[in-house]
Amino acid sequence: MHYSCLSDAMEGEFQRLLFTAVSSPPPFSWYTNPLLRIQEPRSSRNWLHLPMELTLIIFEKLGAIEVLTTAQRVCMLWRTICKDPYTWRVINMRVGVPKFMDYQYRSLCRRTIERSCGLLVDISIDHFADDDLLNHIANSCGSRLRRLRIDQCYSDISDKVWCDLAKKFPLLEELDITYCCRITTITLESFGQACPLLKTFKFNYPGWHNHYSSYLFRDADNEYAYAIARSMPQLRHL
Amino acid sequence: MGSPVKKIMLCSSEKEIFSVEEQVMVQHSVIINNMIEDGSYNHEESKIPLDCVDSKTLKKVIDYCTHHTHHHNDNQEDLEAWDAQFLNVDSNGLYDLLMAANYLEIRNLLDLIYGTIKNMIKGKKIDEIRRIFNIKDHGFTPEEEEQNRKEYPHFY
Repeated sequence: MHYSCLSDAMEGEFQRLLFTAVSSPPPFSWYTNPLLRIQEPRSSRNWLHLPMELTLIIFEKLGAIEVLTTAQRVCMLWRTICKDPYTWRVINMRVGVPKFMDYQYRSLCRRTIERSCGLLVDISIDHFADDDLLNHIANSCGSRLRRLRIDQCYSDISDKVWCDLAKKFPLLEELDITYCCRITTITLESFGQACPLLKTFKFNYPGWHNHYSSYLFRDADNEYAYAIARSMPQLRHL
Repeated sequence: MGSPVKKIMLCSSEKEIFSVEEQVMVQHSVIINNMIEDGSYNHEESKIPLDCVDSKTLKKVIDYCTHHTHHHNDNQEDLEAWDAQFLNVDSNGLYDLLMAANYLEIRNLLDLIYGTIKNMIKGKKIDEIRRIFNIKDHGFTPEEEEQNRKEYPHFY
């Protein structure tokens, strides 16, 4: 009889131990193994107990720059996630309003590419892209890359560089080179020939929407259209 | 004409039962849609047990689905204002909603929550993020933390 009374006290002690233990970080396997997460106390929501795949989605939405500068220094778990190559399969480095210099963005971008250990399949970058960086992307993970988005890249990249680049992305399915300077029909055709899987292609010539220049470019527009039609038979969206 | 609206029963972790229009949940939740489609839900006797969703959260989720079913023709601004008001909850509430929306696979609600979380982190200092998400133990060694603070003071 006294045994059952004791068990209540023990139960209380057990609960106390259980709940105080939670405040110290659980071992890493606790985060990765969902079976260990079932007994989570409902009173305290710990964002570090969020399933890893949900944290990953948050990081993806946040963008690589924010993740590398702040998120990875918030806590050990987030840092561990940031070191996982799987996190960097999709790299979103759209800057928007720049806070750093272009060369800093380029070096950040190189770091993320290194962290992806070749798993990278989808990358979005904008104005800071230059031929060195593009070559780096092509050489380190070009053979797997499925989606490449380069927005507003004003740096001077020659046809030859573009043509060489195109050959290094055999699996590319989506290419977005909106408002990039110096894209010629030769570049378009070489992408068309080198990337047989290309399904989506976004392209805007600088000044496309400008009323005055659109008159000047009208002939050129046709040429671009022909080049696209000639070389990209698989295209679904333009 | 006038066939009664089909209802389904959802059961929260506190075993409280919520009766919801079937159409509302089917339209938003992939999981419930699958259950109804493959016939594993019996309208006479089944209750869908949602053991990891408490009553308060479940009520909010149902509110969201109902509003978006009946008001999907409203103009975008009104809907966005409603959504903003809907997600005006503390970080605990947001966590519960995220887990519930993820469990029930309500895609537009998930997108909305991820967007909100993104805005909660974006542009914030590290100390602020720790406070918002109630991260008390960051797990770095004191030396590491100090070095980080010294090296990147503008992030803290």
